[in-house]
Amino acid sequence: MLKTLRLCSSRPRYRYRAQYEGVLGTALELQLLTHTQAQARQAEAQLLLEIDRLEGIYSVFHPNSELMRWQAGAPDRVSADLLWLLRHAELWQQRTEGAFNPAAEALKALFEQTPQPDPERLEALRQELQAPLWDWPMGQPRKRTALRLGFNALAKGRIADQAATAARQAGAQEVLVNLGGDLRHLGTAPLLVSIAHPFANADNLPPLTAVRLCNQGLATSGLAQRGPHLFDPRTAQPVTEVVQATVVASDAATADVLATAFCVLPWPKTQALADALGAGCLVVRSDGQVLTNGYFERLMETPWRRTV
Amino acid sequence: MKKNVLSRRSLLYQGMALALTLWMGRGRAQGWPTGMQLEVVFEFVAPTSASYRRPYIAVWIENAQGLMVRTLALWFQQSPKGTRWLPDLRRWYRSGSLENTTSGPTRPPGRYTLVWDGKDDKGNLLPQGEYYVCLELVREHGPYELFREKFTFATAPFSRSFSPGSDLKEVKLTYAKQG
Repeated sequence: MLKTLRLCSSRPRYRYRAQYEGVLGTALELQLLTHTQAQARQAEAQLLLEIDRLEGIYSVFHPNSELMRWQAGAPDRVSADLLWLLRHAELWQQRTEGAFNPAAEALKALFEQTPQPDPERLEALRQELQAPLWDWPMGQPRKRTALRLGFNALAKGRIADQAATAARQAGAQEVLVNLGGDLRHLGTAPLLVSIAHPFANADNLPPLTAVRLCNQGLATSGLAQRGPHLFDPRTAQPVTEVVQATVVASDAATADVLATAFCVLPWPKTQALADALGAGCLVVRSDGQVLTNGYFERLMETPWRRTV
Repeated sequence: MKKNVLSRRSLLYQGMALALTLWMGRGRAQGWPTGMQLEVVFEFVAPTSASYRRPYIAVWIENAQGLMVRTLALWFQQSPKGTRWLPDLRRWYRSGSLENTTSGPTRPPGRYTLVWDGKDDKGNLLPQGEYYVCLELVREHGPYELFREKFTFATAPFSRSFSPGSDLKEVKLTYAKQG
């Protein structure tokens, strides 16, 4: 009787929080609000299964992932998930005017090999990046470039979205998936998200600012953890002007891909694109200047400064 | 005529001079060097599986006598028994919103950074001298590890790396001027 009453109550009664390491090459934090403990366990299991399933499709580290088999020219029909990724990657390449490019990893590889590459070689690579990376003969994607493609700047957000949805379908009322800094929240109660400080990013130092997130995605991209690893595919040069970009959007995939693009684009383009898409953005430049659009400012919780 | 050394006025002056000397001496000889801070970077791995639950971790500072002066981090996971009384914080527990979280550039797994600014848990600057840096780690069904090393925190910067082994792959300490 009591149990029935509990289940009927609209307020969830059980809180669950777990942290994992070594998920998709980063850390995973998940939080759930459910009616019962059993429901939380079920939702967590479904969420982890969904991450595993999508890793098997999108990973560039496993040679047997569907993405890698497709790149190697396997003749199989591609799954709906890979189709989604390729279609959206194309769309975002257009929307960001080439600031997002799935073959940009080639630049990183070249600069790692030779810190000051030969200008001719760099120009050749730049042109290769501008050429169509794949086409659609008879509605099926076919790779055209010889460059290796990686979709981490879109796939990680997509995985956070899908994993959160899996937990929601398993009965969780409120879901938070934090995949190494890329977040997806599903639910109706806002939660506070701190944004790591790009110049003082120890785990026990105060954050740059904090925003309220509700039923949205949030992602941050920048140089703090891995140093200079971002390149402008349009100029074939390393990103130096922006040190960190944070985006709040309707889902984590959008936030993820925009956070990467906003590290590359000049501020007026960043602001215009964010405003047009109804997204919030915060950009920290290397000189310490902090730039935000109006939507992001309305979500901010803590007092903040224009320079850091 | 012999001066009365214990007049009220001389006692007052001498007492003040003594207090001032002690206070200045303390400030000069032992105060925490301005702007110096310790950065503790540590990395842990679980050798058996690709993904695993984050271990329980405590990082703190002890003074030369082995007394805890500052806790830098205490991270633990929820288990059904461990949070037995959490639901009894009824108003908070039933508030319906999730706990705060943090977003930043994609971080490598198991690698964290903490800083110590020379202050104790109450926020007071400690005198310079010898302190222990301690890190304790335990993983469910995994090993238990304790790292505890003594260093001199004075004006001289230092940088040391340790590979304790097992789950705790690396502990790197850098004591330098802030920023």
